[in-house]
Amino acid sequence: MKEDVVERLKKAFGEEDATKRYTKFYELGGWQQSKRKTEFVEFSRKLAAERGIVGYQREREEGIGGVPLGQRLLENFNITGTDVICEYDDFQQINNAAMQQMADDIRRTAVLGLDMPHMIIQNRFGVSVTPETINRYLEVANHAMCGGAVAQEHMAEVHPGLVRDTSVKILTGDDELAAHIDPQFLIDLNREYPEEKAEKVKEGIGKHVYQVTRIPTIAVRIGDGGITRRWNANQSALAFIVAYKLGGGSVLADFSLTAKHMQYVLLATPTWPRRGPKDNEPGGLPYGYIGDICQADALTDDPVRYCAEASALAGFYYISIWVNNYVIGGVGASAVAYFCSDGVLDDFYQHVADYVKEKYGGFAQAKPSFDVVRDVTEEAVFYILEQYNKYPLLLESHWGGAIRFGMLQSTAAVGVGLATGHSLAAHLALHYTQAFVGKEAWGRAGFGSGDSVDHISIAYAASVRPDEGLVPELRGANMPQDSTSALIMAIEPASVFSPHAARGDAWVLSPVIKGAFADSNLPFDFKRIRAEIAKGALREFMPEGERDLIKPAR
Amino acid sequence: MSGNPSPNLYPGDDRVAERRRFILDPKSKFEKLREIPDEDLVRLLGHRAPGEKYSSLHPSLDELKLPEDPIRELVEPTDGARHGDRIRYIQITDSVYHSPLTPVFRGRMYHVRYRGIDTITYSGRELMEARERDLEKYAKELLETELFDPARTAVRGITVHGSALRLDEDGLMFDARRRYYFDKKRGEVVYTKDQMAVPMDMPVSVGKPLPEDVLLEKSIVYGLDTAHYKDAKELWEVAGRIFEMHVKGGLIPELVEKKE
Repeated sequence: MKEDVVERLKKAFGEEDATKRYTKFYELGGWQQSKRKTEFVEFSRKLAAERGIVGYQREREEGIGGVPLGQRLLENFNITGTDVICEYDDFQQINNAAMQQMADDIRRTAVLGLDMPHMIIQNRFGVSVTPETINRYLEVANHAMCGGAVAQEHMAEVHPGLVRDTSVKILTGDDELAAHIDPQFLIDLNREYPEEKAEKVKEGIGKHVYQVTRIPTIAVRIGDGGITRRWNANQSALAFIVAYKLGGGSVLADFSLTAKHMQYVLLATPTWPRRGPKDNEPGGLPYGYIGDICQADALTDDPVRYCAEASALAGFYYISIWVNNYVIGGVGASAVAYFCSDGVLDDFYQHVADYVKEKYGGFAQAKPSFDVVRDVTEEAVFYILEQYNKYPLLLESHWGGAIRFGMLQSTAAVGVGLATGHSLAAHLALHYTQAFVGKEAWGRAGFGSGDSVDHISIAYAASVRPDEGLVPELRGANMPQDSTSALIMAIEPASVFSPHAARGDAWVLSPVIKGAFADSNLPFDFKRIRAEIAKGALREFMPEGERDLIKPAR
Repeated sequence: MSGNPSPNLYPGDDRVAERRRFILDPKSKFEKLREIPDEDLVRLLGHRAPGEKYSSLHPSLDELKLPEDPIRELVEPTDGARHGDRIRYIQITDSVYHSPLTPVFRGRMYHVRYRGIDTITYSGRELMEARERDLEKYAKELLETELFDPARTAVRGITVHGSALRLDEDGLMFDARRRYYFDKKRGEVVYTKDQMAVPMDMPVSVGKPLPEDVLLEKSIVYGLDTAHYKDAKELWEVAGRIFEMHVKGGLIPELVEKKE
């Protein structure tokens, strides 16, 4: 590993030597070595007095029969790419407002194609659609989307301060049309991306016109992602009716269906009933969209840096929000903290990227084959395992098999993705790592039956049959085998965004989704995933969906 | 080591592969290194008090009139099953610093060596469930032989964290529940709490830690201080072939080449 990564680890543990195998435990101050836990205890004591019922009682470990925390060092974390030092508890999804906003910004996004509604109102109502009428529609739609009445009388409206994060914008690859859209209503791809990338994304979108809506954060917090489509549909239809002065019976019904549903781009499918959530929730988001939602490639043309940022997004989205908050609930090990701390994963990615460049002459240069998958996977896995052998401090930091296999699998997938530019090859590398290479090297699994998903996925990988195989870009946490794992969905996206980055693609699965998240006005900055999470850790991130305006101060 | 395990048990000609074959051979006789009295074992497991009768879930199979079943004719019940014992558990954590076994190989070994068990493999620990008297018999072998190092292997039913942490100043694997300590006078590891971290009425010694060179010699882990990952060529060839065949077989079974 690079010296600076070792130094950061030493600093996190307060150690002089990262290679020492022996240390002292049990006399480090217990939970009191953590400022956060100390704060929690003090706060909880006050709460118990106020509420008349006890809650969190870390100070009564003996009394509650629980595990005594802090018998080992509770190390600090430096979030990679920032100077921020934080604690493990800062990665708990309830404690990090940025993490919550990241998921909220995805679940409250609605993308509606406008070509078909425009065609219908032109053909059936005989109304002209021009840039001017589109601007008028957008003004009405922004009013309606914020909870303002446009057609009905005597409606209860929404306080604008509660929905300040709401917007309706236009996304198009048509520069001529874009030039005529009021800038406040435009996701300006020419401004958001470097020239070459902007051209590619625009070419992908073509002359089509999409409406990108962000419904209020507070709406998805009261409801769930399922409300996004309906909120957008209802308010868009009303805005159309008013902006274009539409009326009538069956024709309006036809139009309404078109405007609400016919060209709707579903971000995430509903999950199966046992999991609960409707559409637009993490369980149904295809892995390919992770690479599209991540906008780090607007700031860098280095595939390694982009992959590291996208991995952080995948980790926080699928582990913290989906697994920890939806599937499990309550306390959970935040393995993803290690995906973005102390520069470790970046070091692993860089090593395998350098290997690929040297051995295969650059990115996306190797023809996909079992030999390449095996070669790059072995290089990635053996390099990382050697680092664990050399640095007991690193091994202590990555204390669980799920963390270590997250590193191994993700790095192998990125390596093969960069080598071949082929998502299926990268996908196979990811599963080959846990099913065989990592497991046989150390005789350890990731976690309980952790490799069952890998063995199944290897056999199904190329079959592309529903519920078994699927092209990697379209796979997701909702697939039967992936849904059984607590980790796999956080690392599988690496096998998808890395090959596309290697090929120099401007998007992974959809130029529309790529463009939809290029909006600089979003509360969560998808160009700087780790920096935003760091702000959340420092409690400096300002989320939306607050209720301050309608409640007394506490 | 004794005997000559079949080369089909595990690929490779390095010492790690050789040791893995030995572990996986159901005929292997493991060297007994310590004596743990039955009553101490019962204390450690914490399922019943020493001397207490086994609880049963059902009468002895010999007393039961069961419907005819050809499988019952084929499968001899274990002692615990015959007596209707409860299903109980032992969970063992293995330090990455060369505990004589690792979870994956525990799982594989348990399956081929012990009858009537259920087991699950994690990154640092292996759970085994079995009828109570069978469990005690299996646990005896697991704790008294070369399969157990008092410092790097631990019995933990709960709070298993520690397998990847550095060792403490006495060379012991970290345990947040402090179930055991190193008795410097006797040079032995002594448990004061059972596997569920409940204090025991009297301490139980599990013996002296094995020297580092012995642990390394018996290690079944590839790595920088045993056999290097890259040198296990036959292992990766076999693994790679299984992997390739699984992908091809999953796509079109005919793609899998058949060797006579």
